Amino acid sequence: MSLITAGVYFTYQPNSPYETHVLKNINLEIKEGEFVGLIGHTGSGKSTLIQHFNGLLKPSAGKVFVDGQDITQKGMKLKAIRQKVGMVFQYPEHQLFEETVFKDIAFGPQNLGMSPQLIEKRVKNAMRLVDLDYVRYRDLSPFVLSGGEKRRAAIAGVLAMNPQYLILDEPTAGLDPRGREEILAHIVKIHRNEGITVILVSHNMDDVARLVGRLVVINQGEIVYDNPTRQVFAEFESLQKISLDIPTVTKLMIRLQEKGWPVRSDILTIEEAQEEIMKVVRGGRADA
Amino acid sequence: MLKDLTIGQYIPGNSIIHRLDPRTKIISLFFYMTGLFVANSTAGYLGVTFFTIGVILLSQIRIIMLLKGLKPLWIIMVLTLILHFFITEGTIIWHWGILKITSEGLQQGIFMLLRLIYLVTITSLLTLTTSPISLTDGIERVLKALYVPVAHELAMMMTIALRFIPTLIEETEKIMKAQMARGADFDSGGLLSRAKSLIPLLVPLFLSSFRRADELAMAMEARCYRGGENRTRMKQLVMKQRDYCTYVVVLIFFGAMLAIRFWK
Ligand SMILES: Nc1ncnc2c1ncn2[C@@H]1O[C@H](COP(=O)(O)OP(=O)(O)O)[C@@H](O)[C@H]1O
Ligand SMILES: [Mg+2]
Repeated sequence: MSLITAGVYFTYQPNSPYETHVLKNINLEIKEGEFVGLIGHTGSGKSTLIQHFNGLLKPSAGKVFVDGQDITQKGMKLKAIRQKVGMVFQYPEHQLFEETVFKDIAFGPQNLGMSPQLIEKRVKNAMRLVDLDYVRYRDLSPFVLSGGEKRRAAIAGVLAMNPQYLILDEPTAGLDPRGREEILAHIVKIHRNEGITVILVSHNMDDVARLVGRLVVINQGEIVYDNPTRQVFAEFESLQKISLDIPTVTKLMIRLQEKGWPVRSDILTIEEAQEEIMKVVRGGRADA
Repeated sequence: MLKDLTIGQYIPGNSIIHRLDPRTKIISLFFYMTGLFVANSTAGYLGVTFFTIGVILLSQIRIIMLLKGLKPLWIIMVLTLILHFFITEGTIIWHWGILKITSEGLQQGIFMLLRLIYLVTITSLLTLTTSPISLTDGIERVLKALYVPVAHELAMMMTIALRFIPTLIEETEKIMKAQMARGADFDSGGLLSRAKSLIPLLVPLFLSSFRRADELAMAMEARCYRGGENRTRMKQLVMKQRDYCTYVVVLIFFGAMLAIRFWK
C-alpha cells in the first residue's frame, strides 16, 4: 500500500505564453506508515506535486498510483481517492464556509454520503484529534475562532473523512511560534496514534527535520535529495546551493565541531543537542 | 478552464498596437464598437471582419490567446445562433415539424454571432496590449475630457477591478480545489444541487475579496494615496504621429460603415 508517482511531468498552461514546466520526471514512493517531509524553496513545485496524489491535477506525462490503482486513467472515481488521500491546503482556514464548526467539519463526510450518526462520530473524533472541545465549539461560527483554532477546525474537516494518507501543505504558514508548535505536535500525534501516513510540506527545515523520518528535497521541479533525515547534515553545502538551510541545531553542532569540540553533528533536536553537549562538557574538552 | 479567460490579462509586447497611446486605443474602441453596431449587411460585416483581422495581425497577439478568451462564452454563442435561426420570420429554407430555418434567420444568427465574437475579441485586445497603469491613465484622461467628475477615482476603480480578475480566478480555483479535496462535486447533479454546491465556493470567495480589498486600501493609504487631488505623473501621455494615423484609419473605417449602411 503506497503512493507512487512514476515519471511525472507537469506543465501549467501548456501552449500559451505563460507555459511553465513545473515538474520534471518525479519518481517517488511513499509507503504506508511513513512520515515524510517534502521540502523546497518557494516556487519549487511542492504544492503542484502533492495535488497529483489525489487527482486534483493530472500529470502531463507519467502515472500516479494510489494503493496500486492508477488514478490517471480515464473514468477514475476520484471521490474515493480523495477520501483516502486527505489534503490540507495552505491557509486551510480560508476554505471555511459553514454557519457552525460542526457543519463545516461535517462537509467532507456528508459529500461521501455517510449517515448522520456516523457523521457525528467522525466529527467528534476529528475534533478530538486537533484538541477542539466538541461541546464547546460545535455550535460556534468558525469565523469567531482565533487563527490557530480556525486552522485546527479546517484540518479537522479533512481528518473527518478518515483518510489513510494525510498531506499538509505548509500547515504552519502565518502562525506564531506557539501556534506552530501546537499544530506540529498535533500532526505528530495523529501520525503516531492513528497510524496515518503523513506528508508534511514546508520550506522550513527547522520545522520538519526534527519530526520526519524521511526527507524529500525538491528544487525547480526535480527531486534532488531523498534520504533518511539523519543524513541531512551531510548535505550542508549542496542544500545551501539551493537556498535551503540545514536545521539550526545541526548547524550549531557543526560549528562546535569546527571549533574542535568532539560532538556528533547528526543531531536534529534541541534535546539531543543538549544531551550531546552535556556529555562532552562532562568528559572535558578535547583540545583543552 | 477559468484560467482561459483572457479579459483583464496583459501580455507585454512591442507591436504598434502596444505602443499606441491608451487614449487612442480607448477612443478607437468606441468608434469600432459603434461601427460594429451600425453594420447590418454582408458588406458591412465583411468590412468589420477585415478591419478586425488587420488589428489582430498588427498586435502580434497569438490567435490562440483570443480564441481561448472566447471559449467560456460558447454557450451564449450557440444560444444566439440557435435562437436567431429558429425565431426569425422569412423565407423557409428548411423545416422539420414545427422547427423551421429561414434564410433571414440564418443570416441574422451569423451576424449576431460575429458581433459577439468581435466585441469580446477587440475588448480583450485592448487589455492584452495595454498595461494596467497606462490603461488607467488613458481612461482617466478620456473621462476628464468628457467633464466626468471624480474621473481619477472612477478610472482607478476600473483598473483595480480589471487587475483583480485574474487574482479572483486564481482564488476561485484554489478554493474549488480545497473543497474538491473534501469530496465536493462542482460539475454534476441537477440545477438545484449545482447551485447549492456553489455555496462552499462563494462564501470563502466573498470573504477573501473583502479581506483583499481591505488590505489593498490599507496599503494604498500607507503610501499616502488620497485620490486624484493634486496628483502629478512621472510619465505624461503624449500623442505621437502613429496615434494621429490611427485616428485617420479608424475614422475612415467608421465613415465606411456609415456609408455602407445609409448610402442609398
Ligand atoms: N495555477 C497556476 N498556474 C500557473 N502557474 C502556476 C500555478 N500554480 C503554480 N504555478 C507556478 O508553478 C511553480 C511552482 O509552484 P508551486 O507548486 O506552488 O510551488 P511551491 O508550492 O513549492 O511554492 C511556480 O513557478 C508557480 O509560479
Ligand atoms: Mg506551495
